[in-house]
Amino acid sequence: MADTPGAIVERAAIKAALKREFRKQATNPHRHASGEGGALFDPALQRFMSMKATQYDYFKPTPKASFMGLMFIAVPIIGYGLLLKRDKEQQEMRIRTGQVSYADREFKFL
Amino acid sequence: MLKLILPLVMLMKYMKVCSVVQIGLLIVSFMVGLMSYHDFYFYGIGFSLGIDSVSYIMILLSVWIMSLVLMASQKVKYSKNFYGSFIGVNLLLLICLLITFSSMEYMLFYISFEMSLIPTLILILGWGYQPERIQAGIYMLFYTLLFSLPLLGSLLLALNKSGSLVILLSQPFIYDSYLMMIWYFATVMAFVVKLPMYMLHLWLPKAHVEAPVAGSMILAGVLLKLGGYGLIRVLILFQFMGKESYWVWLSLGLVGGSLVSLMCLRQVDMKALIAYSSVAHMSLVLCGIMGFSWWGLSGAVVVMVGHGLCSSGLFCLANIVYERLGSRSLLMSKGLLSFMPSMGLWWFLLSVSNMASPPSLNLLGEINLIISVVSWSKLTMFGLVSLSFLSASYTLYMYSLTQHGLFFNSLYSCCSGKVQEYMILFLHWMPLNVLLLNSNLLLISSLIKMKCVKR
Repeated sequence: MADTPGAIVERAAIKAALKREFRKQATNPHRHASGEGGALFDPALQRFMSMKATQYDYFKPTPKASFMGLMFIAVPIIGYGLLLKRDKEQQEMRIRTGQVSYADREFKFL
Repeated sequence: MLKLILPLVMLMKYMKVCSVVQIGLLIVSFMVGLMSYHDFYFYGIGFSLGIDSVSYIMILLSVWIMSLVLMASQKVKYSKNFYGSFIGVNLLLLICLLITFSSMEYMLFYISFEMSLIPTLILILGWGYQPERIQAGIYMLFYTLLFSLPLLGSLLLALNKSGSLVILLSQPFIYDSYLMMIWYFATVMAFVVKLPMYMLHLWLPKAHVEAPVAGSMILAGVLLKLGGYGLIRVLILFQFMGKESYWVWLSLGLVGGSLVSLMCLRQVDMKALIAYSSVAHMSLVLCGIMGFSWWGLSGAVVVMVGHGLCSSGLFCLANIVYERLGSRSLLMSKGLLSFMPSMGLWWFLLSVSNMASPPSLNLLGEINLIISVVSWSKLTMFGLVSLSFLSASYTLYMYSLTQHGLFFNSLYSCCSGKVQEYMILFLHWMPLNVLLLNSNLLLISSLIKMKCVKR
């Protein structure tokens, strides 16, 4: 139904009218001459930026969101920390019990 | 110190005359620069204030950035938006910062640390652009204040235990019981939230984005370094506890920094991208300071200076774009290379320094930090790889999105690039890439001090 020749012509007319209006406002010589800069106001762009700026206000704690927070934030931080702690403790124990010779020790002068 | 504070106080009389204050601040920064060849070992400068190498570098950075801030805020003057009070607030902030960086006592340091929040809040609320700045000011204030009240308690406890809070006389506390860990965390949290660390960083994107260009520049340039500087001073007392808990900060810094860098890639707001990149840089600084190694300390100081200049310059660039386009949106500010070609030079130089490419100070600092962090444990290399790679990726994203391609087709004409803006950006870039040639001024190492004494 939307592909009838009448509908196509009608949509093309609307689109051409909008384009004409856009070109008319974007090439406004008085606005260009004043040198104040800026851009033609686009409500869709403004809505998008407002959405991004107020993203946190619309946050809802769902089980999926909590799960994502855990898996991608809490688990890597805590897991990586414990891994580093364990690695360092093993390293220290090897050095302090004399299993590493002084020549083999790295980063002595840091 | 009188030669620095007295001119600043006297400049407040000339608050209404912008040019006098700008020139005066440049002269003060020159006077601070003259002190650079002094042999620092807590050079006492009167009024129980003292400067050592780290303090001196921070004071120089803060005076330099403040003079650039006043140069960048010409719009406040032209729109007659209370520019006398604006200059007064900025000078007050600079005095607070000078006292903070040169205080030889923990209590004076704490008082001036808190005092610097108030002019910043006044800047954000008074001269910011969006209504969201109220929330930004509240976030900044309450994040910092919530975590710095325990710091006051722990400083009083330290006074009780050791009888004096003078930094030179401070001895590390013996780690007797596990309760002392609470003391350690209470002290360190205040600085870690200012630095900021990943979990406590939420105030930073808000405050940086909603602040005027002056507020953003001074926040990114100097106020974040207050956290790092405070950590350097306060960790003297808590060496044993700090040794045990380094893995916490390392993990938060590396993984948190990588997560924040990933967030950078999703931003649509230019200033938010630069703000999140500040968090990523500072997280590496955190890893360096907490590690108690000479390389870590010197790398942290160098990155603090480099990042201060680089981020401040990027915020200046973002403001230059904002003044012309009226929007901070990355969707609108694209293809600027064809729009303002000469500005592309500064975009390029500052972006490239942001991702720590040679020959910038950031590279030197990051090399030192990477060496110090890897020297603690080889497993940290995973975190470092992701942090470095993602830092390059979001910087390239920002540069190519703002510069390359077609410009937004509904832009109205505006002036291309004023020479004053080029001068501000040049003054940002010059220490960043040229100070590298004489970086022994910034690198802190006892070996260098010994060399001077031998000569």
